[in-house]
Amino acid sequence: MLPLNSDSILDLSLLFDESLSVAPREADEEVLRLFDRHAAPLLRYVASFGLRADESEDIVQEAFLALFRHLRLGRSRRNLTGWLFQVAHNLALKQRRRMQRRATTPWDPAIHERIDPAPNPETQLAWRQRRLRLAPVIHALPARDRRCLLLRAEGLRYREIALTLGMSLGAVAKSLARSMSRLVNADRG
Amino acid sequence: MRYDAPHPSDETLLRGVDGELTDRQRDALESHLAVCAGCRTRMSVMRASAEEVTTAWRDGTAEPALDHMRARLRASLDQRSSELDRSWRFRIAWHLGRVPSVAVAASVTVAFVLGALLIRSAIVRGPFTRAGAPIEAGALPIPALTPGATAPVTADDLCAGRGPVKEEVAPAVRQAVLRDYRMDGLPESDYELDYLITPELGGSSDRRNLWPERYGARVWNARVKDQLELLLPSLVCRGAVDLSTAQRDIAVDWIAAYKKYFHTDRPVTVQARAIREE
Repeated sequence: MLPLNSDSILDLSLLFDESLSVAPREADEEVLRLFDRHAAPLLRYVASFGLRADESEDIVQEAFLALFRHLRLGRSRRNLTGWLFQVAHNLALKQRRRMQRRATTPWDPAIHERIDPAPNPETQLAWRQRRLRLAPVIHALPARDRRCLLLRAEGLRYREIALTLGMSLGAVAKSLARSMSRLVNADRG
Repeated sequence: MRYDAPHPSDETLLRGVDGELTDRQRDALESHLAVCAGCRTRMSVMRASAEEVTTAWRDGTAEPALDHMRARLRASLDQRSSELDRSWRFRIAWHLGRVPSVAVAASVTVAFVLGALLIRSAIVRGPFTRAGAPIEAGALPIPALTPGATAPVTADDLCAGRGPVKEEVAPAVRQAVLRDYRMDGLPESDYELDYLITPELGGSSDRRNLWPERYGARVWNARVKDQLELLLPSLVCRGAVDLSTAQRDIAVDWIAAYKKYFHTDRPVTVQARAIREE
């Protein structure tokens, strides 16, 4: 008989899909491989929405479980990195709306105050100086430009950034170039 | 050497730094840089700035401790995979593709006979007891106040990321919605001002598409609706469901839509939450 407890129902629902094509254990391993590769950047990215650490962890967990369902259903494997960031981005926005907090920026100094940045005082000083110089320029960027910049800093390719933020590839390139030009000009000024 | 061609834009230089040019564009850029010292300098400056931003961001955020998260994920995956391994439906579906066709035919016949017997047994003894999870007051919006509203977008637009922009709800709209629902005296921690039709399905921030969804609901609550809001856009984008059908289903009764698309009478997140709370 069909197991009818609440947790198994999701998985059973997957069985009705004609495109079912990946064994569960294979999907497990793939999800964990992708976790090892992307969990840290995803956590940093989600935290940049001004969410608490536990909220950020829940969202990243949710994103990887969504990935498991995605793989189990044999859906497209193209741009899985962008897909993961897009799911996490949407969940983070939703959570932020839910918490009714004021939007913090990805470069909000408050996020970094809690973190010990570097192993020794000299490196720490250099880091602080660099941040002090960059922070106002980045803070002044439009929100979407700032997100592009941050995702690039996390190592995402342009097509992955485009999928995450729902932009065209060209718009991502233009946004990054605009931000970078401002940073360069600020250095000159 | 004199160089007459226009100089590359900042965008081209940055795409060069990031390895985002086509082979042809890269060749053209390299040819130009070979004869243009000014552009070589511009590109070096661009590269240095780009690296500086990356270093500043990554150095400023400590590597998070991931061990406990990984263990939690593995536990959730194990749980789900074990359920699937045990499921007779899955085993049949999975092995069908791997055994000879005679065996397939035999299996299908046996399954058919067993299925008929099961159905007969169910008819004699009554249906499976799947009463479904109860729907608490406030889990659904009032249709007259919140019928749902969409922006004029197509499925192609939405799937290409050109849907409505998610924006903070204007304070005046928020107040109006709360007044409609006579919830303007409640603390904000008691509810979420939710989009009935999610922006990923073309839902707009119109007052008719917003309603205060109470957190108090223990079963059919905002988190469960989130699951549906993840699933429906993906179904629309793979062509399994029409956009208009998805919009209508979620607007008319999102709980019924959840049951329809997840093939269940209950939310599927109960176990996940139990694990999280341990």
